[in-house]
Amino acid sequence: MIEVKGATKIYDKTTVAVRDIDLKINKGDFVFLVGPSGSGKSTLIRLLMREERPTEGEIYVAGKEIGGMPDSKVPFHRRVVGTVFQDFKLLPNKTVFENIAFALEVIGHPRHVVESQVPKVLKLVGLASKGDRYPRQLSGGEQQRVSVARAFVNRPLILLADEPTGNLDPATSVGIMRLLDRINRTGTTVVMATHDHAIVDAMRRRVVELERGRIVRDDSRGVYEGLRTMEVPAVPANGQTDASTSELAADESLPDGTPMSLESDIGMGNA
Amino acid sequence: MRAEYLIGEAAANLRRNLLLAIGAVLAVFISLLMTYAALIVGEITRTTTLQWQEGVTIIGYLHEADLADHTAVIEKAESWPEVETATYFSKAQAYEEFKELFANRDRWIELVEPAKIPASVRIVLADTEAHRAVVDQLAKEPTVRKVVSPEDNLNDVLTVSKFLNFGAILLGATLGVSALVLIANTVRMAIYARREEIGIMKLVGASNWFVRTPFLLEGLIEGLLGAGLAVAVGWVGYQWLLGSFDIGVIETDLPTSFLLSRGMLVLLFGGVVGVLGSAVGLRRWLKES
Ligand SMILES: Nc1ncnc2c1ncn2[C@@H]1O[C@H](COP(=O)(O)OP(=O)(O)O)[C@@H](O)[C@H]1O
Ligand SMILES: [Mg+2]
Repeated sequence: MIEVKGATKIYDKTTVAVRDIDLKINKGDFVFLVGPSGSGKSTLIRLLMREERPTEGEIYVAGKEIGGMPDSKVPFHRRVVGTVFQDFKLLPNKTVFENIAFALEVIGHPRHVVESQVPKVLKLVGLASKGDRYPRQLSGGEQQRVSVARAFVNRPLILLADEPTGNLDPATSVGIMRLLDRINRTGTTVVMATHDHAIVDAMRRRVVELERGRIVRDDSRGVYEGLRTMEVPAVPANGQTDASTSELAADESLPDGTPMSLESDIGMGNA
Repeated sequence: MRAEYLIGEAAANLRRNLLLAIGAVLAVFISLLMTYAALIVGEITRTTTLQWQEGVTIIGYLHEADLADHTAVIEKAESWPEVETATYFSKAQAYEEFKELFANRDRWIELVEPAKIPASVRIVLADTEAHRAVVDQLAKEPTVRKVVSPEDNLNDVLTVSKFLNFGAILLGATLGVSALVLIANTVRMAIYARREEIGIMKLVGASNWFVRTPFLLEGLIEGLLGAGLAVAVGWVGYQWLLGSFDIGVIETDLPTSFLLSRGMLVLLFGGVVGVLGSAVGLRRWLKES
């Protein structure tokens, strides 16, 4: 689904943000990108959405090399990846419904598709009754749900999230993580940059750690603070959790392969 | 829904920056009015000149003299190899022509005594290259008072009118460039006002043309509005001038087809200025996409 080969990004000819990255992500994977601030997480996300071109290397997404792709093809790549950011990026003068509908309208979906898909995805994110609200009338967590709904309404193959819980308190973050987990279980590949230890430790998903632009660890069921070698098997170094994440782990209790009712909820498979 | 959406967006952009948009439309209007007027004046000059010329290239006004002396000059001129025909134009004929030319200037006709209008010899050249030589030769004849060559005068008129046309078109083009810059500015303002929305459109995969078209349409509408105004005002102004000042000797009655075809040209030019203007406004942003 995603294959990064020797990708390097240098800003302004001086700042090496990511260096010689090799990374393979399969369809349906859930991957955390972790690492200290400035380690290159956002840059990697931006490379995957082709907001930046790699200075060197190749990036394949859904079979297409996107690094050297002409600008005119980028919109079609963007329809394959949904994106969620720390700051939600909602339009303040549009309602929740309109914000989500906008994503379908501007890629040319007819009105009947908008009218059938938006309510489904609103229901999925638990905002079925708040379609008429404006973003300022919602809590941060609700705004981020709208943002996730907008990213997902087009049924992308991949969801890229850059610190989606960065502006949210721990309890609200749990809600967003449940949502991303549900979306992942529909078969959508999720790549999420975060430095939220609790979330990473509670989810026990694949963890790719960056440090100064290099991958220093890739654990298939990792935690935030793992041993920094790619050879180390997926054994957590320590399993610390706080209240909110134990809630996530216990309350959500999603054993692998547990099917969620997402497919029937939102009519998957006709994207 | 797409067309509806795109036009709606363009209209919304225009409304948001109404003052700027009006400025841009006015700039297009003024520059294209100049151009349209220049085209009309140029055509008037050209048709008038053509009518005056009628193949006569040299006129020799004759002193008061016997008909025999006059005839002698005519015959002599006719004998020159460069001359095709030399015809005698009597006082009476000249007066008739004068009356015809100034048919609607009764007072002028009253003022002019037929006797004061000289007889003349009118020469059509076989060899137009020899124009100067024939003029000089004719001037040496004692019976000839004065030689005028309509071609000389008309060439002067043509040069002046060409110069005027050129100046007007140059001015029109200069103003056209400023119109273009103004349109580029309104588009840039519109983009700035909607940068958030555009950012999200690009994020979710709106095609480039889908993002750009409302802005191109905005420029096109401004260009066409300005051009349409210019043609309307130019046309009405021309008709008004035609009705107010019937300048007898000047061929002012241009065919509607001419006004129409040049009007189309001006509209086309306005549209091009509009689209180019928005393209310039979009350019920096296009590069970033
Ligand atoms: N647009 C940019 N221009 C120049 N330098 C940048 C830009 N974006 C990021 N950087 C630099 O690249 C490095 C990696 O940044 P980033 O990818 O944002 O890391 P992270 O998301 O892990 O904090 C940092 O040193 C940062 O200062
Ligand atoms: Mg970052």
